[in-house]
Formats: sequence, C-alpha cells, structure tokens
Amino acid sequence: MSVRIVLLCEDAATDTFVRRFLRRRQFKARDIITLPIPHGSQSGEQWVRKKYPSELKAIRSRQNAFLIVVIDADTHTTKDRRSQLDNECRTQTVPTRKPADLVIIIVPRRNIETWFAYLDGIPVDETMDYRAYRAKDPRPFAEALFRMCHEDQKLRQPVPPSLVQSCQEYRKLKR
Amino acid sequence: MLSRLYVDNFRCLENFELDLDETNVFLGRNGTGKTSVLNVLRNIQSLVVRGSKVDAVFPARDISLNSQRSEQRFEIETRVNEEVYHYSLIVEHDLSRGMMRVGEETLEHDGNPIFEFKDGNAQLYNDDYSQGPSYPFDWSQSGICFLNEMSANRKLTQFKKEIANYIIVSCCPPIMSAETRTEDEFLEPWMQNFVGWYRRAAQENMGSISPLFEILGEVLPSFDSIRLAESGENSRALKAIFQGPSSELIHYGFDQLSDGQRALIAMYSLTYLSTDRQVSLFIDEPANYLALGEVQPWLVEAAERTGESLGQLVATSHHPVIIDYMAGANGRWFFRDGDGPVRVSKEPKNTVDGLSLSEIIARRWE
Repeated sequence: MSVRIVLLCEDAATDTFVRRFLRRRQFKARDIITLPIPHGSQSGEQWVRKKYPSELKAIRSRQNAFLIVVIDADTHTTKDRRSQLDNECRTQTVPTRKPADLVIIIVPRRNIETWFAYLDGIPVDETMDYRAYRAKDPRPFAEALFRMCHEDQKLRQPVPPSLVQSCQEYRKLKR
Repeated sequence: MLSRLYVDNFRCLENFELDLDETNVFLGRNGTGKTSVLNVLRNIQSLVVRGSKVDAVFPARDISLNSQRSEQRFEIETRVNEEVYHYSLIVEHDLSRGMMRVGEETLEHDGNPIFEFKDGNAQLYNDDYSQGPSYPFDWSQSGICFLNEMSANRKLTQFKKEIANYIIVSCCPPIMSAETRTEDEFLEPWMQNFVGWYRRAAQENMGSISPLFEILGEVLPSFDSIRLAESGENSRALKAIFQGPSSELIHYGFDQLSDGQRALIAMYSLTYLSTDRQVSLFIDEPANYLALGEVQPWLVEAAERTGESLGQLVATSHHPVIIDYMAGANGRWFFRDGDGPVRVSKEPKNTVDGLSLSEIIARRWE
C-alpha cells in the first residue's frame, strides 16, 4: 500500500499532533509521509509556502492520496495565509487549488500552540502567543481533539475560529 | 532515561558532555564520536550490569591519542520516575605496566550517596541514605555489579535495572544467527544473537506479539507470523511464515530471508518487544538495509512510542530521511575541529533558508 497522506508542516510538534490525531482515525504510520521538517532557525512558514506548489502539482497525479498542509497564521489572518499560498502557486506557475483537489489546508491562528492551549482547557485569544506550549508533548492535545470531534461530537465553546475553519477543511479527508 | 553523559579521555571524547531528551538523533561527520558515545554506554553496561572486568571494557588503547593523562572519567545521569541517579567511574591506567583498575566508582540518588568505592574500599548506603556496611573490594571490576538486591538497597538495584534496560545496537542482518540455544537478555552490538534475544523477549512480552505480527504483515507482503521451531536439544530456529499463492503457509528459515526482510523483523521487534521494561533504545544507523520507503515508517513507529511504551530513542544517522524528519527538533550535532575534541550542539552552526537539513549537510554547509 502506497502513502495516502502527504504532510507538509512547519515543525515537529505539528507533525506529532497531526499524526497522533490521524492514528486515532485508524490511519497507520506508513499511510503518512511527512515532508522534510525545517530547523527552528529556518522560517517554517516560508518553507511550507515555497514547497506547497510542487506538492500540489504532485498530489494531482494521484487518485487516492491527500496533501495536508499545516501553516501557522502567525500575525496574519487565516485568509491572508491561504491567499499567500495561492500567490506562491501563481509565482511558480502552478494552477491554484480547486475544490476537487485532494488538498486540505489547515491554518492555526495564531499558531499550533494556540490550539494546544485551547485543547488544554484554556480560553484562548488567537492574537496571543502561547509560548509555554512549545515545550509540551503534543500527543495529549491530539487525543483531546479526537475526543471532542469523534466522541463528544462537539468542540468546547468558545472555539478558536481558525479551528472551526480547519474542521471544515478536514471533512474532506476520507478514511 | 539517560539524561546526561560526561566522558573524559576516551578516544576522541575529551571533557565531553552530552545532554539528552526522550527522542534524539546524533548527527555529524565521520569521526566525530557518535559511535564512541554508544561504545561508552555499552562498556558501562558491561561493567555495571554484566560483570565484565575493567580491562576487558576500557583497554588502554581507548585512551585519547592526544592525551598525556592516564585517568579516564565517565559519568552518567539517568532519570527513573523523576528520580535522578548520578553514576561516576574513574579508570586508572598504569601505562608502563599495561595494567588498569577502577580508581573510583560512586552512585548518587537525588544528590545523596548510595555507593562509594575509593582506595580499594567500598562503602554502601541504605535506601534512607544512612551508612551501611564498608568492606574492601576488588579493583578490577564494578562494586555495584556484585551487590545483590536487598530490602535496604532497592535504589541501587533500580539503577542497575535502568542500565540493563539500555539496548545499544546496530542492525547487521548478514551476521545474525538463525538459531539459538539460549534466551538472551542482552543483544550483542550487531544483533548477532537477535534470535536468542527474540526467544526471551517474546516470552516476556506476549501481549505485544500480535501487534508485532500485524505491523510486519503491513511491512512484508504475505507475512503471517514468526515461529521458534525446535532444531535440536534446547535449540530453536526462527521461522518466518508467509502465505503462499494458494493461501498455504510457507516456513522460511531466518537465514533464507533477504537482509532487508531480516532487518525489518529485527527493527520492529526492537520497538514492539521492548515495551514492558521502559527500554532506552540506542541504535546506530537504523536506516541500514531498509528500503527508502520503510525508513520513515519505522522511525515514526519508534518515535510515537517514545515516552509511552518505549522509554527513550537515540538514533545515530547519516540518512537524509532521518535527518529531515528528526534533526530539526531532536538533533544533537557533533562537531570536531580537525583532530581536536568533540563538542555537541543542539543546533547546526549554519542553516540556509530553502534547503532541507540533509541538503545542507550533503553540501557540508552545516
């Protein structure tokens, strides 16, 4: 069985979080390939943005494989980040994402640590930087998200808007 | 979990210090001491747990070539359930006579001494840190190794169990035996005795056998199971069982498999059958013999278990898949200026935006 999910993300914490969540959805380790993860001193956002067009082009050659892109909004809006990905496609002369493409774009705002804080039970503000969560093990947060999504069938209110948007994207993913 | 290592005067390791996390990958050019670190740990395990003599594990030829000193120092700090053990060993060499001895060996628990060996005399402490018996001891071996578990020294026994739980290996299928007469607690450095280790580990981890066969079924097409078949008095041969074209079961001897198939069985056995003892797995070049598409899946399986069913993962690697997956967050970068001492950093000296870490290393721009 070949790889079914190609994961393009900024850092190891995001990779661990996404993989654990997908594992709970019965995806196996070998169903997923994580593209090279940049070093912390490199710009993770730029890394993902520059790699995105070629991976979008590659995934279009496959019938049953998904590209999952996870890119932090940082100080931008989630809409800005998605536009920047489209702009990069235009720069690299790759057609931008179409609804039929098996591509899921997840944009945590302000960043993935904001979601970790939310999943840890803290009311969050998407403009704040929850630095303390950078050193924490992401796996329990993935478990918490899975419980909310698939067992409780609802997210704890108030939900960070970027997570709501990402849930809509995530519905594309078929097991 | 091994949290810190200090080595002085062993091969290229001089005044060398290394801090470790749960997941780590050692990176660095050839000759920067990555494998020497694993050798030190294996030697300490041999001395402290397996009863080896000091002259067998720390011969004079391993003294740093640039050094004029005849004393080697080794320290390890290991954490067990939030408790910190600090072990220190000084090996003294008499180079003119070709002799060596344990000059000093101490063990502390949370900063309090629980064993001291100095000047030929051993001092034992009880678990409440009160002074226990004192007695003369042999300079040629570890005083800790020969202490039996008693109600008053459970901490010392816990430390020995922790060191016994270090698996320090490199997977080398061509020299793995297909049969065994023994049930082996320890793996040899190149996993030559994998079948003997599997024979014991499978009994200790019965609950992990089914998940192991399941993952091997995903990795090896048509794989069914593993069986240890009788092959003489007390001897067992490892058989890998595959489904044939008509669903019949075909038994292959371990030595009838390819090197890659044997590597996959051995590597997944390491991660699946080490679960009950919170093992620290130190593995040199885990990507050797694995097909490119199998490297990240194995690494992910091991990394996902680390901190849960696997105590610690330390991999040494030059492989781009491993570098690009792990080095960003878990790298330990070994550097050496010319013939000088080795130093370790959590960061590469240089990175370049747009290039993966493996590409940077391939250009020697790190």
